Amino acid sequence: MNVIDLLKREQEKQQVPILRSGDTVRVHVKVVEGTRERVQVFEGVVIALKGKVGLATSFTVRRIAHGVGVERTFLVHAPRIDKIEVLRHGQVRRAKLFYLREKVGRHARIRERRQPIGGSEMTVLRAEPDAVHESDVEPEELIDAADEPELDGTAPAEVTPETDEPEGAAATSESDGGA
Amino acid sequence: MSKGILARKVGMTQIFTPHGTSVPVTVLEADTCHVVQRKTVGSDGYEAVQLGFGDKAVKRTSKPMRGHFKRAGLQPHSRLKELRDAGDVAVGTRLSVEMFTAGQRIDVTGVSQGKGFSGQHKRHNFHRGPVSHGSHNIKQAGSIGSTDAARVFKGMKMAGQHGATQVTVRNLEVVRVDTERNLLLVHGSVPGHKNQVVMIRDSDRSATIGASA
Repeated sequence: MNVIDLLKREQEKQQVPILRSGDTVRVHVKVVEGTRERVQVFEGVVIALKGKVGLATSFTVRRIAHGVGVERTFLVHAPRIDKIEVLRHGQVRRAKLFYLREKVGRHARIRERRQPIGGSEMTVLRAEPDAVHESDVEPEELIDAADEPELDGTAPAEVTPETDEPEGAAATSESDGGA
Repeated sequence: MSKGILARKVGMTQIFTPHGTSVPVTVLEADTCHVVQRKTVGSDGYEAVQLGFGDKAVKRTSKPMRGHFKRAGLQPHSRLKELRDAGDVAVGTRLSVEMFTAGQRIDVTGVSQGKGFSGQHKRHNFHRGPVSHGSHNIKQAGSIGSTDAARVFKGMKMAGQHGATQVTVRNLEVVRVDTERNLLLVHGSVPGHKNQVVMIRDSDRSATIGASA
């Protein structure tokens, strides 16, 4: 196995849920506030999955917050993501649900899929759990994050683009017409 | 005094920082870098070390070069590069990425990817001509000078060999130093294709742009 693959593998999480466009998810994001870390929850509909399966995979979650559409893009394997819960599987006919941006209320509904694709199991285990990698990478990263809170103490809570540098701003706000 | 090492470009990937951001990195591997020769003012008129990198079969090495490596007590290396003003380093020393620390700035020198004989658009970022209305100069360069000069000035930008020249990218950040596997993870891209041998040095930020050209 070449070095690049090893580096990728070391950073990948052992267990990530199978996500599909249309799913309603609850993303638990670790946020550093001053000196302490807390978990923030972002719940919404997955409107896009992007990137090859692996380290670079990202997904965009859309929700309507106080009448304003908010989208956040996360990297599936980001260490700042504590947990991803799939609440509901959606039945959709598109891979990218950008049309939801123009829909409000009743029209923005997504039918529920009764039979989840890929069986009833919601999470997928990566091939064989690799004990070495789990022990040497994950905890270290988390400790580092906790050790240097002063550095990102300035970051505001709501719009921290912590997990999604490639996409630039994390939350794309837009006003949603009549809502 | 400057520090430097020869390394192989392995490729690019991305790394999560402790803050949770994902940064693009180039992976550089410096597994077989040795000091082959020391040049001093007394012996050569200037201070430098000669660094060797990569393996080379003994039978493929010329006899004079075999002697050169034997003197340093090393197996033949495929690449030799000089590093000026490297200070007092013993011949035969194996260099490792430990000389660098995460967060520091480095300069990386290598041979850029060759693009062959390229047109003006690719080589000098010219605009193309109009594609419609019967235009026939889509790919032409345009004017190459005025009429009163009655000649083309030297250095006029035209088509020609593009790439495959020595390029130095300055002020790159070291994201991670992996001493176990002798890897250096550098923020951003680095000249050359995969397996390209590049020289990594301490960044000299005081150097003006173009000083090395």
